[in-house]
Amino acid sequence: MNFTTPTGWAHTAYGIDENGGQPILIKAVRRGRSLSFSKADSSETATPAPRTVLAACLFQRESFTRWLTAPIASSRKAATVFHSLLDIQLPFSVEDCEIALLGTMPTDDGTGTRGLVAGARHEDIEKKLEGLAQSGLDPHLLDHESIALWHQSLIEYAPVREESSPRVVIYLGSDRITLVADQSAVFLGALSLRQPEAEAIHRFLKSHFPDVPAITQFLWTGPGATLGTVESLYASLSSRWPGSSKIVHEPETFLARALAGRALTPCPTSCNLRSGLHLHPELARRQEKQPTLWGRACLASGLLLCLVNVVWLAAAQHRISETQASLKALAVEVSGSPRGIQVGQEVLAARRAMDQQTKTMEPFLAAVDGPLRDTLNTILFLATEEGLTIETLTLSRKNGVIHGLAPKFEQGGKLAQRLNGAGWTTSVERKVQPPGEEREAFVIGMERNREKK
Amino acid sequence: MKKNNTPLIIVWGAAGLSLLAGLLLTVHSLNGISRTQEILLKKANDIRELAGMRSQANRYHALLTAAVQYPAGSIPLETLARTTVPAQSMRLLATDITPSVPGWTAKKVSVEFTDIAGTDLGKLLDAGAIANPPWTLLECTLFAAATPGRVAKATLVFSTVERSSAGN
Repeated sequence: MNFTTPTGWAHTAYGIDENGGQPILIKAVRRGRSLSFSKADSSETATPAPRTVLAACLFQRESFTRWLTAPIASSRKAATVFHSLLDIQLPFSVEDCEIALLGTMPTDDGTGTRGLVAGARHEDIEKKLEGLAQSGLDPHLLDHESIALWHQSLIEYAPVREESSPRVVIYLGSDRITLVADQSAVFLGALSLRQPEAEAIHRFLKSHFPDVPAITQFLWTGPGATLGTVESLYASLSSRWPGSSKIVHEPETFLARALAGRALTPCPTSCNLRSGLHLHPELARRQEKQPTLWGRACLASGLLLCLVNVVWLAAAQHRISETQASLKALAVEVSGSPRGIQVGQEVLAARRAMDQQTKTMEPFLAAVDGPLRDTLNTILFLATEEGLTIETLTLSRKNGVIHGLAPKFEQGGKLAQRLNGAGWTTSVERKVQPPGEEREAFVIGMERNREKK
Repeated sequence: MKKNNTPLIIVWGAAGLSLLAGLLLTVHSLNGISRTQEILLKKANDIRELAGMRSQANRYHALLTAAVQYPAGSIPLETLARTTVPAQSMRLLATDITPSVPGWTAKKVSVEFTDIAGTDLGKLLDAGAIANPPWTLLECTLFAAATPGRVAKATLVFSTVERSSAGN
């Protein structure tokens, strides 16, 4: 059993119903997330446009639906035994059928799994396709009539949440009657009749609802769902099955709408019994191409990833190269070296060149950077102003020492402070007073604290 | 069927290889991000340092450009001293001539003064400063005299630059 895949790639679908051998065609077009429906004629389906599918269905009388119960709580494991369970239930071999598992649900006690399957015998499928071919129709999909009717009734007449009253959808055609029973939006079962017989309908309902519910909804559809026919039938049923009765909007095209809509809109109960040996050539071709398409997509993704990385790496390398070129040009300019400088040695080479240059520029720099003359003049001037006696003074561009005498030690400190503001770092200490000397002896140490280069 | 499968195998094979290559390249790129940042940061720091050195070099160039106006040779220090300090107090200790930047030489002269007024020393320093090229005081050692305002002994080292005969 396979989960059937919808024709999600299509944007147009034709739903094909049949009434007395005459096709009823409805065209559905996907517009964004919604569908628009319109009547169609067979000239449109003769040669379908690209991305267009034809969806017909196997009637209930040509197919079957079954609820299967497996005593396995896991739905995945239960799905593997449904095939065997179905084989037991069917009067023919399941190997002679195409089967679709439409959904599973846990049993009431939670120990098992129930599964809804729809299927048809190969010969019925072939017969159907031949019949449609005679009308010039080659559908891509063969849906299941009862499932499509039930699904469409939930879409067009969604049950109110609190409502759990049973619902029966009755399709009235010229050559077939199809009954579908539902409760709380769960498909219960279906039946095909040749004639619209109230008794047969009653028995069908009784089989699904042994205790007659207070309210039963009747939805009438199909080309034969005219007011007169429906009123007559419902009159026979309503006494035993009280409730409501409604003819759907445009009942003659209800099933065709359902088929077209289901072909374009994926849903859990999507069903295509034209599969396996009967698979439509175009679907077969698309299925075959899919692995290649996926492969190409992966190849393209891989190549794109490679490209992005190559571009990124190239850009990073380019940025590094550009920066390196600027660095090298600057190093050559600073070092004045006409020859190339090794990568990583730029600052070192430039520093060496600058150190050499600074050495040779010393005489020029001495004249402009903190002239010693100014410092000497400051010392001599302050000495006079503060009444200091400079006993010895040793001064160079980098350091100096002043030995002196002052009326008060603090006056020596003033000299030191003044020198601090002139680019020197000074320290002042008291000296041992010479014998007989009233003035206080001091020594000032000086260090140049700002090397202008 | 075999004929149909071969292109599929090729496509998926190529897809697998390209995805693997893409993944490996992505890992390589991600690993390289921090390294690239480190490299760029270091180079940016180096550029900043070199830019500082360039400013320094530009300053040197400006000093040399200003020095172009110096005449060839320099006024001897003795000549300057003659106009500012008593001749008998000055003694030339040493003269040192060394090459400087191309086209220039540096001259260092050590002089000793004995029993000299502090003001005279000041005049000598001022005269040296305004000479063309200037004489710059590099070092000095002073010993005060008993008389206020006088220096018992002063040893001074001056330097100047001279344009060599080839010119700059």
